[in-house]
Amino acid sequence: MGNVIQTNGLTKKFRGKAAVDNLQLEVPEGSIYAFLGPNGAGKTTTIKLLMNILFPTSGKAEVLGVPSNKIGPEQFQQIGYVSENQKLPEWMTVPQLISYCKPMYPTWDDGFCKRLLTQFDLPKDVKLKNMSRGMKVKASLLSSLAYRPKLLVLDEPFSGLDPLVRDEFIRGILELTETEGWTVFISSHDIEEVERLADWVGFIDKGTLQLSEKREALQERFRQIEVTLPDGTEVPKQLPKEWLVPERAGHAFRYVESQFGSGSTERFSSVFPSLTLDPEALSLREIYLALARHFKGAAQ
Amino acid sequence: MSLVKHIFKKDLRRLRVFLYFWLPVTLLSAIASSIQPPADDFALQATLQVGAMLASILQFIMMALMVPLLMQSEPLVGTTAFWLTRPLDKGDVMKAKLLFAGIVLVLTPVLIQLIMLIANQIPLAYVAPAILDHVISYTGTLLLLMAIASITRNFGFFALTVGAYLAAGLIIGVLLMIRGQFALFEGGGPSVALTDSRTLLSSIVAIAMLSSIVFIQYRHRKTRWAYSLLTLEFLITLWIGAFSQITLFKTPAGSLTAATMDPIEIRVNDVSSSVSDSFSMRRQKEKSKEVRGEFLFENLPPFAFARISEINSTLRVGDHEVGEPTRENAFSSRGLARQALSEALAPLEPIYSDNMYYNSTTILKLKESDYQATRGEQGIYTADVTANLFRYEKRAALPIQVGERFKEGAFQATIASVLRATEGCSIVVSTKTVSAMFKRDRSPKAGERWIYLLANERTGEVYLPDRDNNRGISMNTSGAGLQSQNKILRFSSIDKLGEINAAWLDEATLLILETQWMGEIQKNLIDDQFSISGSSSSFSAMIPNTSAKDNIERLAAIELPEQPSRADVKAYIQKIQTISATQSNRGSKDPQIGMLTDLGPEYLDLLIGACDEHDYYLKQAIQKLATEEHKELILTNLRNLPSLSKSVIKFDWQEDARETLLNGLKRETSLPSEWLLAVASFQAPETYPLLTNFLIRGGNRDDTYEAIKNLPGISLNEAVSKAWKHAKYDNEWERRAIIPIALQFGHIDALDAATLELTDAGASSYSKTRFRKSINIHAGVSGSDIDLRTWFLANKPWLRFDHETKRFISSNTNVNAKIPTIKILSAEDIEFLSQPVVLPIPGTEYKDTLDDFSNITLPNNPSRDEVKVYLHKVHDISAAQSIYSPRDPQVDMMLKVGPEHLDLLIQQAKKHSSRYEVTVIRKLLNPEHKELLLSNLRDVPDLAQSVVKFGWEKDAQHILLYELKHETSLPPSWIKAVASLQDPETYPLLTNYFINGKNQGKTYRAIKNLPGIDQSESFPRAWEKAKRNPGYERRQMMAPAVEFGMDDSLGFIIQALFESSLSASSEKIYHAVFEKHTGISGSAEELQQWYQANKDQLRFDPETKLFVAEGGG
Repeated sequence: MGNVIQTNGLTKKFRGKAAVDNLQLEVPEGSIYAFLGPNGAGKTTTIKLLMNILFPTSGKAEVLGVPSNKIGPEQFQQIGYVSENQKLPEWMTVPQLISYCKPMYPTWDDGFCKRLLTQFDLPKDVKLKNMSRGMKVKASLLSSLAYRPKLLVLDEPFSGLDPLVRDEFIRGILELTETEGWTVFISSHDIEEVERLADWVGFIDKGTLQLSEKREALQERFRQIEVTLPDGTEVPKQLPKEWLVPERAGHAFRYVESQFGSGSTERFSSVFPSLTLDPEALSLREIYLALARHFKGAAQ
Repeated sequence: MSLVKHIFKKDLRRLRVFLYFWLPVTLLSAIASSIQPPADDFALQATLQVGAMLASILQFIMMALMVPLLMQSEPLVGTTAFWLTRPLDKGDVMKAKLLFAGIVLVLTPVLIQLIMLIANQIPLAYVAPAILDHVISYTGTLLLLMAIASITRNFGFFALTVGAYLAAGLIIGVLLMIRGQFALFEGGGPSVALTDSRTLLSSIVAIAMLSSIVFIQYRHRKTRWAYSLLTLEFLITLWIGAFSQITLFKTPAGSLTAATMDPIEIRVNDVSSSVSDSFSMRRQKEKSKEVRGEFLFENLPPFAFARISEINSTLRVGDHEVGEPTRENAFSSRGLARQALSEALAPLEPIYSDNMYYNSTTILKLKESDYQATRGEQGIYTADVTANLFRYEKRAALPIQVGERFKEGAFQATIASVLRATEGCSIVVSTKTVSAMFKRDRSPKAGERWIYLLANERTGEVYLPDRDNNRGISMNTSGAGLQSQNKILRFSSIDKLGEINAAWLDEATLLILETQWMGEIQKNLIDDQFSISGSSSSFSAMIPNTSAKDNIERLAAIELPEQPSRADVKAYIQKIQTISATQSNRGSKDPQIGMLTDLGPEYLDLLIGACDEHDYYLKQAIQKLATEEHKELILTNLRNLPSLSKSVIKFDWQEDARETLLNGLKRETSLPSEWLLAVASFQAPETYPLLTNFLIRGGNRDDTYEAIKNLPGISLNEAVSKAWKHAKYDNEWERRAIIPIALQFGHIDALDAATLELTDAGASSYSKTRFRKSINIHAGVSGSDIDLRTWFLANKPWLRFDHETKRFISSNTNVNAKIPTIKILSAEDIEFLSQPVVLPIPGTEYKDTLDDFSNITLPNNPSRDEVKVYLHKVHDISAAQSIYSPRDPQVDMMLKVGPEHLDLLIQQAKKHSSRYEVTVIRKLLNPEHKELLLSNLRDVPDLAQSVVKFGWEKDAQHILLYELKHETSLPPSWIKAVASLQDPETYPLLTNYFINGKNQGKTYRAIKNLPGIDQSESFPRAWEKAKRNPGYERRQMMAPAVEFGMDDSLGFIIQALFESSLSASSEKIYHAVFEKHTGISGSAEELQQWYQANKDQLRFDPETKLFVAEGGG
């Protein structure tokens, strides 16, 4: 199984400041890749570089095996792109949008489109400019799914969507990826929603990809460790580098073990020889927060 | 292609609402500018005019709305566009947009234009260039909007950018226009071909660059590049359009050949008609002066005239060379070239309006310091003159009927309406033309190309429209589309010779003349006797109704040092000139003449140097100071100051000035009569052609005629004919001067002109007297002015001129019966009237000619002829007198003829209004002569005294009242005669005459005691008029004005008391009047003192008729 998206040293600078810095990204085919990061981390810029909307300052990117700067109509016929910032032709109604898009795609599936239309419950005679944000996202998704793209790129698709819609949206994508075997590249800072979807996770901060691995492995690797320190116990200043965001509050000491199972017990004993290790599993959100705080602290 | 079509359809769907408006607006724009509204429907014409303008603006606005919507539905700026991540090829999108814009925004309007052009029968040769011009114009506009739409993310940014682009263009355009106007003033406007080339080239470059912006954006989406390119495009097209010197279209070669050009000569015809400050848009360290004058082109081809475009002239005075090149504004509108027009229309004769026409040229431009240094000095003037030659050519003569059409290439002129009116008509000519950049006439212009005239072949008359055909700027910068216009031509014979009536119009045609450019010539001229004189127009402008009195204080302030240097004297003269330049009135008693004369003859050269032909004071001073010692100085300057010819005559220097005199006669068109007299004094037949030519072409033809008519062997028939031909449609001064001469030579149209002038309120009484006399002599009729005109019109078809008797004779006298006052004069009367008039010599009285009386005797029992000769001789000798007395011997001599020859005396009185004849007639009249007197009362109004004497007022009432109504100069006895009727119905006439007539004081005395007459309104009006009339009229009215209580009358009395010319009797009267109405007596100084102290408190009491000082001063 190859990579649908692959970048090598991808860099984009705006006025000398790197928005994406030496990005090495691989998105395996058939995966649902959650591209996470705080606001301004470089997620949208990366996606625009991949979609040939922006041109890289240096480095390369390949999408569906084609260099990103060469992506043209042929590739876009296999890519579905939905973004929170995308400006739809708002003077159109949903049927007009469908009519506008359909001739562009040889693989357009009217039945599927009809099904999606019913599923999304979109009005037929209302212009897009008069629709809610959620409706617009659904209309955009409809126009990006009806031709069964091989790659679905979603840039912050949940912004502004109410919980019900989000749920429908996620269920829809999960269903489709299961049945169609599509690759989904989804950028979001809404970790809880992505957690339900993603089987791969990438974390980007300040334009640099901090990690990129399978969600399960990630969650397996990270544990929350919390101990109660006896009176007079001192925490050494030099802690193992695998321990992230260590913090002490009175007798309590807490940290996130980033390499659980790989010498984590030994590291614990070397610091707290008299104490017992009590690991706790972390949600993706907690891992994301730990990492975010870790990188923020490192930067300071 | 399917996706292109798909996008096209999508855009069509989206913009369909706009298209519903776009198509009608485009259609309206084309129709409004090409449709021919009914000629008399001015409302529709105005509506269409406004409609066409609004439609053009709307077209642009709609384009500016549609293009961004079209382009920004798939925006090229930003990263959020929906289409960017869709399988759309950018090339396809661009094609779709261009296709849409091309079809809807270019092809559609161009097709509509094409249909309009074809429908209007425009030849194909003009249609193609016009369409090409349209395509370039629409494409340029469209691509500008597309380029801006392609680099902006939404309509707001688009509007902002378009606004900035247009504002920058507008500001620069306005600046360039101002610069262009300045350039025109400075004589540096671009040629038509250059302007066309710039427009075309800048359009092509703009299209190319704007296309590349659109292409780059679709291909690479490099918005910053595109912005830079747009800025570059703006600057490049601006440079090409306004500053480059590229010429793609050449000016045509013209039709001049060497054989035509070589004989053409040019010379300075008139120098220094004015000297003015030279205009410059740049601040200059030193101002320049422009010496204006006139060049004369000789040996021009038939019907041709020249317009100067460039002069490179220098003046060398000693070692000093001055002058710089100057360009005339060759492309501004100019008046018609009258001589060329007359030649082109011959044998028809154009009738010009009386407006003076003078067109001067800047013949020399020089620095202010050079001007001051060379002013008045003689030097060598050289000029390289470039001029364009044009000619008039008759192209069509359309019958005056609606629908008549003239067609020439893309130009069509159709008579759309003819409205006949009293003495004229209005013709609306609908014109259509196409002026495409590629098919434009690029030859220089001299006014409008097509000239419309109303002609009648039979009468030989051609009328110009009331407004000449030369309005507007001749450089055509309008668009390529079909342009139609209703040109309203108003022709009128009111206040002109001839009469446009229904019969005249039935035979008339609308003449269409074309002004054709022939080519450019370059000529060099050298004048070695050139000098700049004239006063500079940078002096203050003349102020209406001002005289030397208004400048008295300023003149008094001018001082001349005791031992003045020549520079002091020069400055002194200039100061006097500067102050006097503000005056509108000048007189021989003005102090300036004395101030200048006091300088003495040693400064005559400076006076001559500073003088020009229009400087009255300097001319007077020069004349007074010139002595025989100044011979060389005067002869040297005679050429530039022709008024010096008076001194030439005075000192008998004609032979010494022979060459100058003859050259001047060749060169000038305006010379003083002394110049002509000087040349005539040679009595040399070889000078006759020059003299007769001057009679034909020059001014003051009556003076010229008088100077040359008695030259031995001179033949004036042809010269008078030509002179009359030129003068009859010239300004009224020239026309009136020559009418009596033309009558003498049998020109029936002169008789027409003379009778017409008699009915013209604007003609002076002097002119009218001359015309009446000429009519009496050469038509043998007398009568009232109106009746003389009626007589002419009634007899016109039957009049022929007898060259032997020099009289017009009518073969149908029946028509005269209906004209009340017309009287056919006998041959004797005419002969009597034909005797020459000897002008009185001021200050002479009978004693000066007493010796001659002894030679005049009346035979015993004389025949009527003998009496006539006798009376004539007495009169002739007395004619030189200006002082008369009833006790003079002439009265007794004339009394000898007795009452039986009273009619002969009356005839002589009618001719000369001499006081002797009137005195004698009054003495000889008795009641038997009632009929004779009444029938001649109109012609000898002084006989009104006898009417009163014999109590014939009732019998003469009709004549008395008629003249009182129509005349303003009647003897006081006439007023007394009317007043003696004591008829209240005559009071309005009397009061009206009191206000407007002469001798107001006497009129007042004649009517003031009439029962029931109310002068409360008329008196103040009469006084107002009298006040403005210094001299006799005012003095006469001052006493009545005091009596009537006029506020300012006492002031005038005081003022009069200080006048040096006041006679002792008047002084006595004024003192008496002053005392009577104020109770104050004393010397003039005392009265003035009293008046100054009390004038603000003085009030008139109508009961006591006293001026009383309120507050008891």
